[in-house]
Amino acid sequence: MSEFRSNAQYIEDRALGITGDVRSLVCFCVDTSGSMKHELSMWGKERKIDLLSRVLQNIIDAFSKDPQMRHAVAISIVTYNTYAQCKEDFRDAALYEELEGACRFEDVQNLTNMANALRVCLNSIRDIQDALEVKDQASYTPLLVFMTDGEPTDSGLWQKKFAEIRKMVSDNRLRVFPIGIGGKANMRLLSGLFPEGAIPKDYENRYCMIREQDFLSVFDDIRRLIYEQNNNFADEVRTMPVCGDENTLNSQGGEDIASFLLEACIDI
Amino acid sequence: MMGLLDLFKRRSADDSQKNDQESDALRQKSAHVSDKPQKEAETIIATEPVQEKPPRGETSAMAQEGKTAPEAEPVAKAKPVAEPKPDHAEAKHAEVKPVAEAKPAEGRMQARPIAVPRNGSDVIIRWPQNGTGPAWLAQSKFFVYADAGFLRSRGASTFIEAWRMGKEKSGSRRSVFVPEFELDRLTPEERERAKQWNDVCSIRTGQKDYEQLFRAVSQMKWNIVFLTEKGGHNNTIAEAAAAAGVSLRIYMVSEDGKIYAVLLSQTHTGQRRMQQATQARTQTPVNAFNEPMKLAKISRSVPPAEIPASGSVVYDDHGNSIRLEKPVFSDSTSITYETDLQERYAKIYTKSLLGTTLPEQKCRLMLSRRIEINGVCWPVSGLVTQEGQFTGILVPKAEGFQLREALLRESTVRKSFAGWDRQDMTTLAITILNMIRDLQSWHVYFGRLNPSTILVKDKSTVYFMDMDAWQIDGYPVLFENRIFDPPELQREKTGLRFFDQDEMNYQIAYLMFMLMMPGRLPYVRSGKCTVVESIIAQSFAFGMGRETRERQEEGSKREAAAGFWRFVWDHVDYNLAMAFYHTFARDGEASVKGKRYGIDKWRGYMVDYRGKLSNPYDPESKKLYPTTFRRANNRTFEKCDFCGKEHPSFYFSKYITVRNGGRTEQIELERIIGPDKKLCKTCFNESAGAIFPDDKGAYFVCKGCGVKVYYTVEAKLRHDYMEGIGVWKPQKWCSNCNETYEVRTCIDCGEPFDLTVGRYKYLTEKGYDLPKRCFRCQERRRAGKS
Repeated sequence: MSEFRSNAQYIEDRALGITGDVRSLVCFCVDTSGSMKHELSMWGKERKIDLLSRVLQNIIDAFSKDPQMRHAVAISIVTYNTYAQCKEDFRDAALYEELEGACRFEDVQNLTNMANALRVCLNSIRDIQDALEVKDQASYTPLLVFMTDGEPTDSGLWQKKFAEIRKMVSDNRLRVFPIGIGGKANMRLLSGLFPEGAIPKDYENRYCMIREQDFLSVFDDIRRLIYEQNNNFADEVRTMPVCGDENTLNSQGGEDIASFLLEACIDI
Repeated sequence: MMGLLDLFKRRSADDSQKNDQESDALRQKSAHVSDKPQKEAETIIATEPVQEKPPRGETSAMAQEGKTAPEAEPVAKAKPVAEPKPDHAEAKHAEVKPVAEAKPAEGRMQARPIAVPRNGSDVIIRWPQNGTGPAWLAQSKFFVYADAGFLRSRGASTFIEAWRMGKEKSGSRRSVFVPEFELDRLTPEERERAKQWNDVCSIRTGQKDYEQLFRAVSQMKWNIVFLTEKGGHNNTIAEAAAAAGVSLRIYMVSEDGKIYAVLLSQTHTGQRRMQQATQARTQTPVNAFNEPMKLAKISRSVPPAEIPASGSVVYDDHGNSIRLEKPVFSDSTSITYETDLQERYAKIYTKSLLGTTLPEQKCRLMLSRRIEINGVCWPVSGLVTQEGQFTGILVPKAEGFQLREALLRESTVRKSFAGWDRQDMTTLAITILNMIRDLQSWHVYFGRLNPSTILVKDKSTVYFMDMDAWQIDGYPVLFENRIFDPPELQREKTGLRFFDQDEMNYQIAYLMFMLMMPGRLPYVRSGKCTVVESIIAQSFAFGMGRETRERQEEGSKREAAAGFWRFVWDHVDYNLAMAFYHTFARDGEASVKGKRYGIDKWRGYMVDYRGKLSNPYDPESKKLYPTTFRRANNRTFEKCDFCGKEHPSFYFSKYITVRNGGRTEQIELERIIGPDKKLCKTCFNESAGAIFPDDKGAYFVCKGCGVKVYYTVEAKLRHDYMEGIGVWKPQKWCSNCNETYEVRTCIDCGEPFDLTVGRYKYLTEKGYDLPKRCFRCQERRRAGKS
């Protein structure tokens, strides 16, 4: 645990002392390079950075207003252009209510320093995990939502960071959502954040934001994943109930092993 | 020996005569209010077993106990719900008022708050808490026996003195009884010493050993507090008492005369009787299922062309039509619907599962037995489609909230268990354990725990709603959740398996832990390790230090900051916490396969804990989420001079670690903050900016990013000290700016060197060139120039 911390880290630290929910940790890493000032597509009038700001604010509001999730989700926001900086250290969604302009990104500069951005994200995640550990509190596998609209402009350091993240993802220590913003995003490069063989189906289309609707659907995926983490004892359980209706209670006890193992036991 | 006995006997007889006269007078005085002593003696409040005739061989002092009965009566009437407040509370904590000692005049009225029921009643005996003083004991309804170990113990004289004072204040005539045969164990010097306590101690004659003694008193239905020393023959005493059916607890006396319960392997007769009852109750019925050993033969079958859904009609085994209404539960193999029958749900399986004969075979097997246990939703009929194809089962309706929902998050617990306290939670745990145990007698096992299928209506009403998913005969559970699997199964390949009793005992312990620490799992789920790794390594999140329950990591003790869960853990009953520790920690005695505690043991712990919670030492212990440490009798609470909060003394920092020129020194904190000042560990890790708002040493501004970063109080104090001795250099960079921005190659030595983020920012913003040489070559050049 560091001997010096930002004010926000102390605030979160105090929150950890009074509520014991297992935290879902979500780090949003936002590209604030010069190109983010442009419109998302030729049809849209809203700048990419403003649209991103709006969608991000919505997801944070959704968590902070949910009484069950207020202290079950801790969010941090890292911005990067020429340099990266932790705009908001990890704090419970509830504490974002008191924060003005958490999702406003005004300092837009030219470069896209990805290595630096990923380093700050990982440091931020490590800091909150340390704080949680000191307080004897648990957390689910952290989520890193990495957003960019361009290519790295820093030296070769980004490749090292990509490799570090791949390793963490394959060790189940991190879940990653690399999101390309606009048609010019290098999706192939971003897919390098996934370990080999773990790239989601249709990744290059699904995680490339061309329209506002794309943002909404991906952020909805993230939101659902966080709820899912919080609705299972294990974040590995992926078996869904047959009836997905929200009013029907989920009584799934874990991964379904009947479907593929029963076959082997059948006496034909 | 005889001389001593004679002396004791003679004095007892004299006292008895004198006291008899006093008692008669008192009885006459109080006759007008004691017209129904027998009835009241059966109540929870005043159940002094004094109406019974003392057994043969009882000394006069013993007989006088019987005469206090009429006095007990008005007490019961006056204070029927008096809260027990043992006098030990006073010594440490001002807010808990000691009834007996603080108000001697009313002491007699209030000194009988502990509910001491007659043996055999359902009421829980509220035994004296650890730290209870003799003055309170002298006025209680417990019968106090002592052995030679007590008489020779260091605390005996303090105890006797306090007892004597308590007697004088309240007018009680109670004695501490010493069995005659115990006197043989005293040396002549010890006997001489014991003679001085003649007015307090009475000798109980006529028995040669404890078996005889307890047999003699067994009909009296007394609750005996037995004072002895640690070790010795405590187990013998407990066993003799248990054999005679006497309700007894063993205590030792500390040097300050307070009593502390002695832990035994088979301590309490209550537990023993409960175990006997359990054995009787859990006898296997003749038509129980077979123990699961071998997978049943399952064949393929043709599923119905269309799986019934809401609005469909299905038919039970008697041909009655049942309409499916809205779905209420669902998992990956079924949907459970409400039906047009008021008290029944219909569980309809998926097509893929109905493609095998498993659901029907299992259903028919289950229907072949009639298991009627409250809350167990045992199938009552199979369900078929209009074409007569098997499609599901009809089960009794369940209600309440899902246990999983309640256990997952602390915030949900507060919502679902609103108004509950820890005692309610233990009742819930006992209810669940009873149901599991009853089902196990039928050889019906949960296999893998699924808290989603346990519905809680209230603390005593629980439903097990998914019985067809349990492990029965040759049918295993069909889902996998490694979180509940014991460590030895974590690396096992996924597949259908039967869980043995030991593996299920682990899961029971897991469930009990989750109920006692709602919202928390026993194993750490953190950034450093996943929960599965943590289970394999058995890194139990909590420790059992001496008093502080420190966390132990890799063999070294590392004390966690006062946090949410540490408070909750601190308040869990010691015996129960120890059982959790032994089950989950790597070095625990029950942490390996084959040695885990069984369901009856957990039930015993819960029953015991529930009893203790009726009269907790610290009222905070009753809360599901206490907000501070437990105020135990052996803890001194002190006030932090910085935050003003009270904490136990172990929670104050005493030293600070300072690095001075490669050496590490431990400096006494009072040298820095001043003598007699206290700094708690919460403040130690707090922002220095919050504690020392006007102090410039509380923060620094990063030269790279310009962010104001605050030191912890500990770091600030250390810097103050280092500044004082001239070894402190002000900090320039925050941790982010101190990271590598890029790796450059030195033009002189050719070695790579790191350019930090902060330095890069600083140099570029100032318009300086980026460095071409490494730090060492720069230094060398400077030295050469100079």
